[in-house]
Amino acid sequence: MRADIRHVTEYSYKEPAWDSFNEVRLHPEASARQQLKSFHLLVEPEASSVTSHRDYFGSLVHHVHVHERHTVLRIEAQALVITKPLTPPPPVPLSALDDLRGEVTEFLIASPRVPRGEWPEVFGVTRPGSNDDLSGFLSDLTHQLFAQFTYKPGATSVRTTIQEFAREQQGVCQDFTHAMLGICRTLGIPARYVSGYLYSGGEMVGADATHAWVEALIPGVGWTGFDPTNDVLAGEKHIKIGHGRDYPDVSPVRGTFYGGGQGSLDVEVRVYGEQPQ
Amino acid sequence: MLSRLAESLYWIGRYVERAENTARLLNVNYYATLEAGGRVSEEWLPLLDISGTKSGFSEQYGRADAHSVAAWLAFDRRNPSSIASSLSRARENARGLRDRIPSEMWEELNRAYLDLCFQSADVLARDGLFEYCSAARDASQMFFGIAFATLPRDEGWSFMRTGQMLERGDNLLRLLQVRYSVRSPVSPAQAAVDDHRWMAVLKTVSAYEAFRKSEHGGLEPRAIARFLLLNPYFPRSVRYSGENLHDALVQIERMHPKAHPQLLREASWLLARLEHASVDDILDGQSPSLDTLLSDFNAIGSAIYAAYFTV
Amino acid sequence: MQNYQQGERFFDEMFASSGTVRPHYQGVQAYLERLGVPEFERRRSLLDLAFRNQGITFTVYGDSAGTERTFPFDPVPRIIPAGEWATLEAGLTQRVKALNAFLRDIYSDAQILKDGVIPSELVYTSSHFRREVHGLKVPLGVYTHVVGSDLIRDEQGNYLVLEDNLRSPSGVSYLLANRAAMTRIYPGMFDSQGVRTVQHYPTELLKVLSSLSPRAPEATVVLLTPGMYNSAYFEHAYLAQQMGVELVEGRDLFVDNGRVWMRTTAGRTQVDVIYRRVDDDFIDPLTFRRDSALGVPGLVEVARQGRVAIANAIGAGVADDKAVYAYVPQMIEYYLNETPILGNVPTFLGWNSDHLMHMLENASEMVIKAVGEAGGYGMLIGPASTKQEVADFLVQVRENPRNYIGQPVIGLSRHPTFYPDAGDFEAAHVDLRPYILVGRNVSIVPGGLTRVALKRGSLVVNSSQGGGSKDTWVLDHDGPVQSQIQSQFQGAPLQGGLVPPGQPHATSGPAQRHLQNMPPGQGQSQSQSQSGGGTQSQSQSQTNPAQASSAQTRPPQDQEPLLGHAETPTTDSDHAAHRFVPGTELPEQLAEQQGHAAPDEDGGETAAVSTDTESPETGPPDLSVVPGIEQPDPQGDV
Repeated sequence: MRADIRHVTEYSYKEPAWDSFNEVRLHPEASARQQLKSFHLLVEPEASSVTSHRDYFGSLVHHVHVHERHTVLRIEAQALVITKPLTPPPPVPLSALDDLRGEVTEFLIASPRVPRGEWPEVFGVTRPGSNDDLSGFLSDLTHQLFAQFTYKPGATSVRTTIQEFAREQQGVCQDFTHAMLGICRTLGIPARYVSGYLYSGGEMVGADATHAWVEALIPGVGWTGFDPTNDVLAGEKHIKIGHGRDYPDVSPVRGTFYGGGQGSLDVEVRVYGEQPQ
Repeated sequence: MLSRLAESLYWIGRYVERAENTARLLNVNYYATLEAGGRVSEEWLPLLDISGTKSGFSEQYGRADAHSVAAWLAFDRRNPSSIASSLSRARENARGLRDRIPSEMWEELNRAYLDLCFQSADVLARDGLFEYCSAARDASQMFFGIAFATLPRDEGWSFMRTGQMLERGDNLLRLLQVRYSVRSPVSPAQAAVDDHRWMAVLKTVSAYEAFRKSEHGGLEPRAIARFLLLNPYFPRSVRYSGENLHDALVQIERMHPKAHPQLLREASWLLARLEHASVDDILDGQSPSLDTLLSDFNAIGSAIYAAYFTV
Repeated sequence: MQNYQQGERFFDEMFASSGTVRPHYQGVQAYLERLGVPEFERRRSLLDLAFRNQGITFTVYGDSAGTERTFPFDPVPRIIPAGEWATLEAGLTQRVKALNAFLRDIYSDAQILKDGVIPSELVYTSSHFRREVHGLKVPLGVYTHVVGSDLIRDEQGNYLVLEDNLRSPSGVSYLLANRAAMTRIYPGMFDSQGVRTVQHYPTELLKVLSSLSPRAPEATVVLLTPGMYNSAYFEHAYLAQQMGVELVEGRDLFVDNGRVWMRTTAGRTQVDVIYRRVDDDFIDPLTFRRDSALGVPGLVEVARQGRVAIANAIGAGVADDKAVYAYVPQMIEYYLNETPILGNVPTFLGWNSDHLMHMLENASEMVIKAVGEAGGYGMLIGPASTKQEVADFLVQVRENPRNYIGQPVIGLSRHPTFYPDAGDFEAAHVDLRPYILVGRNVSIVPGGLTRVALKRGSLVVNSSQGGGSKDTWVLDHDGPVQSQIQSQFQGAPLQGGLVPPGQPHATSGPAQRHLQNMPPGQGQSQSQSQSGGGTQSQSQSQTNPAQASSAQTRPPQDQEPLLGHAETPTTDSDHAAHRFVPGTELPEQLAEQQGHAAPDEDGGETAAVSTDTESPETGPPDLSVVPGIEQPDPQGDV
């Protein structure tokens, strides 16, 4: 699928702000399943400097410094991406995970937003046996979370913990994702937090926002995306920006500024999709 | 030097000078009003005007009388320009500079802070105001004396001097602004009151004896104003303050040649007017008037800020 | 030291177990004899004054009177002979090289983890492992430019490394001040002793820092301090002044055009090297803690682009995690292919289940420490704690075992120290913190800071718990000084002063010693208590239970206390009044603006504005935080 993404982040301030330093993670990744045709980053007012570097997880991060005084800061990312469909993973026994080593440690240990815990029990998930099918388990888990929890924007905040989500039974994709990560990691399944976009139908979609889902490592298959908020595999409609251990690692725009008084944030995401000819 | 440190020294200069001038003002006038014939508030409200803290006062206190005004100007921390507040802020600024100023300077300020910033209006109850204000004035003089003797004559010194002189000129102009009124005495009693008031003005800046020596006439308001505004020899006169302010800015400019020509021009212009103006022009509201001079001093303050403290 | 009781259990720095004074102390012993105790004591009281005049005091904050205290100091120097020092130097150099190699490795390919030498989990779960600087190229490949590795001596006299401090080790200013005071008050003590100088430290430090400059040979170096409320502030100011560099706080610096600048009266000045005494967490609110007002937004990105050097580098703290410390000997073998010259204190890691079991079972005889903490928090001293205290502490350990290590209680070496209340010398426990500078080469200032536990019987040497310091000498030779000096005393009767206990006859030692004239032995049994070999029973009967309290020494101001530490208020509004006050222009004209509190907008992360009440209109600007973005889902089905 060919996806044309427009992602606008706009900060408005009551009083002039200045010396705004921002880390922007909006550059979609290029991979076997995803081809990045073009990417543009527009900043208004004009940035005093824009540099970039690849972060620890391999995402391209842009550093935007706006020195001059402004009451509105507008960061727009435009990306053209071509995604390939995903073949559902074949069955793989959980015991295959025992052979994994080294680089997956980061996605098995506790992280700031996904602490250690008996998460399967908290969410009423039956622990699979070592001969059980990992792929099947992950699909079932995706479905179980989808069915058990209600998607409700505004019910939670950026700081909501997994415990709170379990208790409240409602939240947004960030919460679903953190929960699934907790469960996977407790079971020794390497899993990472993915930030990206979701094409949700039609040619024009209004007021979307960035989306989050899980990638779990299936031995012999690779990192495979599961979307518990929507109960699907992350296929060609999911456009990936990057991954990390949890939300703070992939935060799309974060920054500091001086002055500004009271500020407000407006985000607009449009994903135009079409099947390639 | 770091802008922050230059700014700290500038403010130390201003605050310590402010504390001293407030102490003098309060002392002289408190005791002067004991012998005044007029209504109590008439004597005290002007002090609030001079210190520019009237609106703050009326929020906290009811009527203006000896007790309330003295407390407000001396001890009250809610008054940002009280003696206690000024000393305490000066001390806080000095604290951040401790490793850069001679220890005796810090110790003097710290001592003054400990002695004077924790008093309350009880001092008034036991007739201790004179002592308190004298102590504040002494502390300030001691502080500047130590600074004069031990602080190296670098940028830091010049910034402190700038603050001190700017505050001095500003404070005296305010005093004159409020006090100056020409009234032909309608009665001998009124004349006595007037004389009394003018004597107080002179004593506030320790100028009484000096004035008497240089002007052999009576306590003629215009002569007093001329003395306080334009006398080049009296160290608390506005002209003297302007001169030293200009000199200090020249010293700073030497470290950063041609960096801020406008600032120096402004200071030179102020000085020129003080050197050549006639007291009649000033007092009759011509150019420059008292108001103009006052705002000029403060304009220089803002210009210093823009030039050296903000980057 | 007629009555000096060196005891049998602990290694004594000055006296051998036979009671003889060690050769490298003979000169000092002679001097002290010559001086006599009354004169010694008189001069000792002058030291306090000397420190005050130099400004070597620390303020007790929270005290509005701002009272000053001098850091307690004992004038009997701790002496290290040349040969011994050479070994220490070699061992520390080796160690520091390995640590830097380790840091280079884990912030790039992490080969040591791939080879399974150190469990990767240990590194990745360290709170000081900074993923944000992964891949960042540090100047000269050095991460830790100033290292303070604490050394102790066990009962057999072996030096062991207790811990490495790689972030902001402090105390070197006391080292310099101690030496300056000693030479002033007891100049005769130094005469012909061959004491190596330490005064070159600031010069060396500046050299190292300058060598990191991206614009070398041009190098504008600054020292970044959290400010005057930090308990080590005195040291920051002192070092800055000694090096002749500007002492700055975060608000004096800013980033623009990809570079770091300083705000001065001459306008902006570019900064090349920042010697920072601010912890990683607070150094850049864009990258790390958003609520920090101590750092510089955008600083890390400038470092990434190679336009500013930061010493010690960001992320170095992972190597001083106490759990990682346990693997330093393996690092030495792995990176340098050498056998470690200096050993570690045997360490049990809570992360390892076997070790954990041992720790839980033997906690009452061990010292158990939380791995990331500096300054003594989260530490259990088994032998000095009640059963209940031990049990309570172990609850935390069980909850988070990776965060704890255990070590046997080590009996630190002791040193004669003067106690004014007794008017005599007694033995007190000591440790040593050498300061290692790493640039193109490694250079170690001879000696270091010897800290002494002044409280009788205590093993705790940090200042807040009754610790003090001593001047530390490294001699340029091993043995006694020329006998000429001593010849004056041959035949002279001894009047009080230093006499080694119970020595029947003169001495050992190559040159003729002058100790012949001491009184006959007191018949104390000098049986060797420190037999090598044989396990030391951990539960010795104690006449003084306090003696066995904390074997582990705590440095006076280790690793700059983090914000939130009792001594370093930050946005605590109580202390806002004490912050730099820009002052009012004209009383009526200035409307004092209070800092704005952040209203909580529904759900979204709010702009967390600092609640700093000292921001009037003309004051320092508010640093606000850009809200993060939520991840609400698209409407519509999939």
